[in-house]
Amino acid sequence: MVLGLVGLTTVAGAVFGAFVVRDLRRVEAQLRAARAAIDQAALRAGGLGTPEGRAAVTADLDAALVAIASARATTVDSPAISATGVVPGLGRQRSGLLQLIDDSSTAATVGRELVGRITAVAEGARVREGGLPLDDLAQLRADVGRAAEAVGRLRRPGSGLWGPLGDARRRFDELAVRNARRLSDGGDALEAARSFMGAAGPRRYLVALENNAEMRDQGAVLSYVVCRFDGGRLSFERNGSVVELALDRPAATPLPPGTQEVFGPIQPTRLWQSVNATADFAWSGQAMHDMYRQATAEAIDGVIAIDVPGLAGLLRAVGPVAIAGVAEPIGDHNVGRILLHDLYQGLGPRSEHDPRRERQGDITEAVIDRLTSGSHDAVAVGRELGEAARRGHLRLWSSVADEERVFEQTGLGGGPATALPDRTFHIAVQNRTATKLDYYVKPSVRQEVQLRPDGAAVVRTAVVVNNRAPVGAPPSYQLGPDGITKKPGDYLAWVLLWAPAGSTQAGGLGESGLVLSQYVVDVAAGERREVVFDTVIPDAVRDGQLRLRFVPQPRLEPVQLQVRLRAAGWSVDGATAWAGPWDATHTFIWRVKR
Amino acid sequence: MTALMALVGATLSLLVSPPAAAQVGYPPGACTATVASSGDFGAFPVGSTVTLTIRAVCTFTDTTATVVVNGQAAGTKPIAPDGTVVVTVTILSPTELSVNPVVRGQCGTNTVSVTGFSASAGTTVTQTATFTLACPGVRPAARPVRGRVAFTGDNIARWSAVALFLVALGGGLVMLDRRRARARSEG
Repeated sequence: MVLGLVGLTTVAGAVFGAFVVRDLRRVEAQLRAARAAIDQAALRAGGLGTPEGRAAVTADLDAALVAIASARATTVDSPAISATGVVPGLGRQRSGLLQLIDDSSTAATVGRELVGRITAVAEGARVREGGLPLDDLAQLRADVGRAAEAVGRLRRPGSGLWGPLGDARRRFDELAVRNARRLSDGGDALEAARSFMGAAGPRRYLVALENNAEMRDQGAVLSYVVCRFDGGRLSFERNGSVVELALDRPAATPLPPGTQEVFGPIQPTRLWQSVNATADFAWSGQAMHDMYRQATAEAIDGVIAIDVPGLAGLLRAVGPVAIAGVAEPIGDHNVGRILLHDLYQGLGPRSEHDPRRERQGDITEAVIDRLTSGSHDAVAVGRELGEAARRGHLRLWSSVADEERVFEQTGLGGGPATALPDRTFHIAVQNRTATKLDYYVKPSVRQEVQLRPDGAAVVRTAVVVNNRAPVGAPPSYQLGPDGITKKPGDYLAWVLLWAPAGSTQAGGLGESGLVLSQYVVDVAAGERREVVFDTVIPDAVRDGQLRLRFVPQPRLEPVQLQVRLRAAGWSVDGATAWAGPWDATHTFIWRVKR
Repeated sequence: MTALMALVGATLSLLVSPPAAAQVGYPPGACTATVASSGDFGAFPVGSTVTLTIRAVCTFTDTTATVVVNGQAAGTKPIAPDGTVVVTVTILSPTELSVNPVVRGQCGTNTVSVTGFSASAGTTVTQTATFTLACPGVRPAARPVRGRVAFTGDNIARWSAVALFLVALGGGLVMLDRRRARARSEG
């Protein structure tokens, strides 16, 4: 009899458990559908700058909310799941599941509402005759702040949940904290952008025009524009060559020891063409500020650095422009070729003072003229600027410390070490001549990461410098020789690898918050040369993850990057190889286990 | 009159375009790290064979390089097509190293210098490397700490796409992460 009762109870328990599992699987499938919709929205988030993009993201979030609601209904309506509420220990789990579903719904709702606010702002926001919609940005800043608070309240520590549900709750809480902080940072960025654009008083900026045909860490600063923002209204003052801003002695900007050792010989506080050889744009911005004041006795409030791909983005937003002496309209599709190749044709090697050579300032002036007349979609302009910043083609530096802090936190300014410095790589191939050969030089990077049993990562990085300059061409301003090189097309490559802070590599020293090693190699026209670096990252695995971050050099065309992980004796979750254009910061995360 | 106008024109052009001498130091020019160090390659006991692959900052471009160990001539080594020179050191005893020839070694820091021509420098350059011969009872010299630069930072956010951050919150749906799903399907 007793045995029969035990058997019956066991069978009943098994049947009950089967129903619970069946219903939980249904809930899981519904939440998976919601997750897929949200992943889809995340993929589309880059299109928030267009009405179609915003509509698509909204539709995805609506689909996610429907799926979440279904999951809630299934949970509430399931007799089996509901019955777990009376089982000691399981009741808390059931209510925890419902709470997690409700919090997901809240988060997705906050997201949808924010997209709605962005849509409302975008539909009304225009750049009218150079006036930026600062009031709209202020409203959006308030909306983002409220969203940050709402998301921050979703964190519920000490929930008492266990097993997979407990893991899911902890991960959600981490995500809530992280995204609340991101939203808060986003709000700070909006506020910094407003004040940068003159919301609290007029501002004057040096626009450093970076030439991607002569690379330093970014394009060399060869020309400039001075502009003003006053209450959001943009106006142009003047443009010219940096030769006009020549200094007879270095500016007083202090050089950190590593920067002094590597870049001191090229006088980065006296020569504009050397000021951004270091990867630390926060330092370069300060130096340019000091150099401009010393050269002109005029004050500026900050620096905007933009290169040719960045200008191309603006041209995409405002349309093609015309400049004197160039027959065809200049748009995003031809600005690189015209500025960095066509305008150099016919110039001899000693054409430093030929007014035809540097016309970035004229194009920038034309773009500002276009922005200050007529009406333009502010979101489209903002989207192009945001994309340019994301790819390193636009950087900001502010003399106002709070603004500069926000720019560095959000990636609008600062150097490669502003995030994950002990996991970040940055590589630059710089031109040690005054030729404009970087139009033809196409570097590529191959990296093999070997994970050792002790958790250290040994990284071999091969940088291939491929010089596609025409072979046998006559001497010219673009191809040289320039007194340093011997033949037209000869390129003197300065290959610099910044490795994670705390790592070791031959000849490495601290610079820009990372560990820098360098090699200089000559590459003739039509040749390829390879330079190899070996880096050891101790304790590379943290919390079961190996994470590596790659910050690109903003060249005319992105460098091709290959990364491969070899981890003998480890099990690795995720793809172990990646190849593609290094056109933005990439972070690779592998879950590893021994 | 013509000469006067030419003089005025030349003066004006100087005012507009400062002479090249004002831009001394531009461009960066030939590689200047003609004496540089690759750092320390680690500590090794007697009986070890140490392989030092030395790459000069100003990349070697000749066919052979001259090797000096602890100030003693140690012959020449070939320069590989990638610009590296491989020096293999067998530690015979606390006082002898074989680099083919045999040279004097010492407990503690030993220095290997490689000199060769570099086209990027336009002259001969020297790259040094050190290693520590670990002798019993002899404490090796402290290795210089490299690259330890404290730096803090936050994650990246982009103001122009703030709603993107919210969609990631749907990871309340991380409870659906693939591992859990896999566990269920396998269970």
